[in-house]
Amino acid sequence: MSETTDRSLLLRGITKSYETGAGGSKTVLEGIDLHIGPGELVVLLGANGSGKSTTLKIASGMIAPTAGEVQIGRTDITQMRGETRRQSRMKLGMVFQDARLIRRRSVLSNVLCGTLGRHQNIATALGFLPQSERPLAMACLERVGLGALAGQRASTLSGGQAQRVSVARALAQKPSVILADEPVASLDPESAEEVMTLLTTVARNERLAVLCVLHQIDLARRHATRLIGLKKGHIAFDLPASEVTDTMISTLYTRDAP
Amino acid sequence: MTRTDIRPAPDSGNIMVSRFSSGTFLGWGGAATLLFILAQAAHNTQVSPTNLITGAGRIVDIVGRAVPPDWSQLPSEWGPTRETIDIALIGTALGAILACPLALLSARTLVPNPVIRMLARSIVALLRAVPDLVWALIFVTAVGLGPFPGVLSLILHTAGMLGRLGAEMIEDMDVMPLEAMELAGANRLQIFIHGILPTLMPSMFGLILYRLDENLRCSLVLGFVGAGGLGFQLFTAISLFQYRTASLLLLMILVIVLIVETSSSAIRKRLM
Ligand SMILES: Nc1ncnc2c1ncn2[C@@H]1O[C@H](COP(=O)(O)OP(=O)(O)OP(=O)(O)O)[C@@H](O)[C@H]1O
Ligand SMILES: [Mg+2]
Repeated sequence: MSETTDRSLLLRGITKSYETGAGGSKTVLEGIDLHIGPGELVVLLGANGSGKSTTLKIASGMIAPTAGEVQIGRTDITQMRGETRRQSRMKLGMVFQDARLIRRRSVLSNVLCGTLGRHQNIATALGFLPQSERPLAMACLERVGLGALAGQRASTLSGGQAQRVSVARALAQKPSVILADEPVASLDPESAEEVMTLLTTVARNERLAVLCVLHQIDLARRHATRLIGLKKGHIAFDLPASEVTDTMISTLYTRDAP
Repeated sequence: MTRTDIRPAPDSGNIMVSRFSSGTFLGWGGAATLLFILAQAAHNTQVSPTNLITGAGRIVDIVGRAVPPDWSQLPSEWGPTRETIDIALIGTALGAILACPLALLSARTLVPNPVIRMLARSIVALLRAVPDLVWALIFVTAVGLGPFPGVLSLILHTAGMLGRLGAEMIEDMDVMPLEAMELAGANRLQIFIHGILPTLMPSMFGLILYRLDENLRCSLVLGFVGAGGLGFQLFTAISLFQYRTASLLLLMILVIVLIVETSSSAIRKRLM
């Protein structure tokens, strides 16, 4: 029971205003409530500037909300500082638009870097990667279908391969939640399909909560268990993928008259 | 009234012409001034073709007395040769080590505190601004003749050069992968050891090799102010009019510089 409830993400009453200089401020998120349970892949849709990335940054603790709280499992991470905050970060795997690998290191080393948070000791401070995690790291690489490339330099990978390695790195963290901001935006259709399939099966099989920002409606419809539409910092809809109509989606992207 | 002032005048074509001619006038004036400055510089430094022509005879005479090189001196110059190379090696190595904290502390991306950063940058600027020859003169006065003042001056100069280039390299680095490591729960030391170092190491090593190459030449010149090695031998030979020894030394220097230059550039190519 606790195993599964730990693997969920809850945002409650999230509001975010950015300072705009000269004492002004701009509210980009207002009263956002969302819950993602274990095994779910939820896609966040919305026009440019609607606040999707801001939502993910707040969920990951990268930036603090102006109001509201973020819970991973039953832990509120918004008030955390220092060491407890760093430890809570391990529970969150992140996948970005670009893979953000250390290009000069091997694929396996990059995946092992995902485990550093669990091994804060003299050996890792001296430059050694945690050898006890090698089997897990290899398993994660096999999981994304790239076990054969373990020894290769990250700089030699194609965009799609690099993105799958970054998913493997996130899995090596043993996360409860995975957050992905436009993970397939720079991939060709085939690689995009592969990465999305990977994220869906990971969510289903490892019982993780996955929140993913996408601009490709068809991919979203095919892979998401649920779709959340964000418009101007408000949630426009939050429905099972099958119940979302084309009209609902097109209103997300139309600019209404002022 | 004010509106008509802003509009271009009907005869703006003429204005263009006169502006153009005034530009040409300025150009000629500038050229004349530059010529005058160069002429007085030549006069001041006693540049004179006649002196060169009369001096040519003596140059031929010296060259004549310098050939053939005195090969019998070769065995006794091995010691100074090794000293020159060792000065360059140890000066570069210790200078590179000193450069590391300076580069890290002056990189904007790593040190948010402007006071610490400015302090580190000022030290680097000072180390670089003072020529290595001047450092050598200071250290010869302080610790006496020999290779040690040469090593000291190379350490400081190298730390200055590498400190600045290293800081620039760190600032140019892609921080996104580092941010990803931080978000995955790695601490600052781990990010440095596992993220920053592997990324910078090859180009840092290339810079250090390049510096070694430069430092070898520096260590030859440093010998002239008493800081040991082949340079000191060359200075002594010329002062004592032993031109055949001097020509041998020049040949040896040429060979060493060529060897170090080609091997360091070959290694650097393989690193990139
Ligand atoms: N650091 C910041 N300071 C001020 N305003 C910001 C900042 N970051 C984002 N914004 C503003 O917040 C709004 C939402 O930005 P956000 O990046 O969340 O949009 P998005 O939905 O991810 O858009 P896109 O589809 O283009 O990625 C935008 O209007 C943006 O200009
Ligand atoms: Mg975005």
